[in-house]
This record gives sequence, structure tokens and C-alpha cells, in this order.
Amino acid sequence: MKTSEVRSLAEDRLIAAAQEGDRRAFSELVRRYEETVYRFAFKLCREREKAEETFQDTFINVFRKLRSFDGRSKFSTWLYAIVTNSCLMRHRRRKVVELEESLEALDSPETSPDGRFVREVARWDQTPADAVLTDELRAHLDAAIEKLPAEYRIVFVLRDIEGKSTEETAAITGISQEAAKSRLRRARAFLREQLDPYMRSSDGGRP
Amino acid sequence: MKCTEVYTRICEDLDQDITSPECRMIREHLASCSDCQAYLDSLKKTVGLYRAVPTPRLPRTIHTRLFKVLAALESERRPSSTGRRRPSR
Repeated sequence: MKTSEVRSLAEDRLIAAAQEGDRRAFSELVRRYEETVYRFAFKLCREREKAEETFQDTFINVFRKLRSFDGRSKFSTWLYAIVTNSCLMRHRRRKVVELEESLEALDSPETSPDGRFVREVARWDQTPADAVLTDELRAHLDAAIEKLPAEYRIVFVLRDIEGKSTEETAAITGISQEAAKSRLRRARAFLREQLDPYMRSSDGGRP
Repeated sequence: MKCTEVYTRICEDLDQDITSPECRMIREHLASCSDCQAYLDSLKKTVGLYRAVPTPRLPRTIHTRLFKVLAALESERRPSSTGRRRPSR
């Protein structure tokens, strides 16, 4: 198939041609998704070198496994699943047990008998959502998300950064929708806790 | 409604859940509980800050490297072109 033909091909036909071994069709498929995959990998890894490795691993896996794609899910869902698996493979060595326990503890904050929070919740008034991202604030954001176990980070990035639905997040990660909701809740609470000391400080992270 | 119930619900969908009609009780609680308001506000800001982090574009060198790797894999997969040997002299 000519390059000009594959460029205008609908996605399902492009995938079918690539599965049949058409090199140009496969290259076009990679071109259509490489930017999305790289950006998603960067959001998960938050480091250029790791993102580049995850990006390459992903497309090597796509090359090897494309014939097994049966079209029952969207191609993008299948692709996102490969990125998340590549990311998880790189994180397997980390000890996550203690962190898992501390994340579960976030489900039940300390409350008084009438169900109110015992600790006063600090206001982040000084820090609007569109605050300028200083290097210092960026370093705190990176340090906080780096501590989050990969399984939770993936759900947080898919739902809150990529804007995927709970249903699609569950499909990509192979967990139930309830588990996806629970991981998202814990991830957000964990990141908030990690950032709290910095955000409640006097300058609130402003330059 | 208790703070702990609100805590669990507001963590699910941030804006969407609390504006839906069935979440009137949560809205009422939030209106009268400064701690829960502050908590929700800080969660939204947490998400907002992560969304605001810029993501770099794919470097051209990484694109080129990938296509070289894929070309190498492709040539490994293909059977040798003819399988014929040159006649020995």
C-alpha cells in the first residue's frame, strides 16, 4: 500500500492492514499515536529518560502483539493498557506494601464521635489553581507523585490528567470501576496530604 | 450527614457529584462546614496543579530511534529474502 493511501485510511482498515504485515500501515499507525503515547508516558514517569524508555517499550510491544488485537475494545484503550503495563514493569521492584497501608489509612481520617474532622483542615487560599508553577512548586509536585505507587498513579493520571472516564480507566487497567474509584480517591487524598505542608506555608508557593 | 461521608463522596467526582440533584445533602453540609469546604477546595487545587504541569512534545531524536528499532524488528521477522545461495566458483 502506498504512503499516500495509508495516510487517509480509516483506523480500523489501517489496523487490519498493519496486522496483515503492511509496513507502511504499521508506520502510519505509530505516527498517529506516538505523540499521545509519549505524553502519557511522560505524565506517568515524570522524567524524560524513563518516558523515552516506556515509549519505546510500548511500540515494541505493539509491534509484537498487534495481531492479538481483536477490536473488542477501542484501539486507544488497548494501547493505553500497553503503556501502563510497560510503566508497571519498570516499577515492580519498588516496595509498595507500606505505602499501600498508608493509602488505605486515608480512607478513614480521624474524626470526633459526631463525625467531624478532628484536625482543622488548612486552607490553601494563597494558592489559586492557576498559580504560576515555580521550580520549587514543580519539585514538590514531582516528589509527591513519585511517592505514589504506580497502580495509583496510573489511575490518577488517566482520570484527572488525561480526562478518561471511570469506565475506560477500569478497562485500561483491568480493574473494576469500584476499584478505580477507590484508587482515585486515595491517590488524590495522598497527593493533597503530601502537598499540604508546603501549600499551607506563608507564601503558598508563590514566586 | 457526617464529614466522613462527605469526605468519601467528594473524593469521587469533585465537581460532578456535588452538583447533581441527588447530592443536595452534600451541598448543604459543605455550605455549613468550613473544614469540608477547605478540604474539597484543596483537592481541586491539587488536581489543578498537576493538570497545569506542561508536557513536552516527543523529541525528534526519539521518534527517529523508534523507527530504527522497528525497522530492525521488521527485518528480523521477515524470512531471508530468497534463501538461495550464490553458486560457488
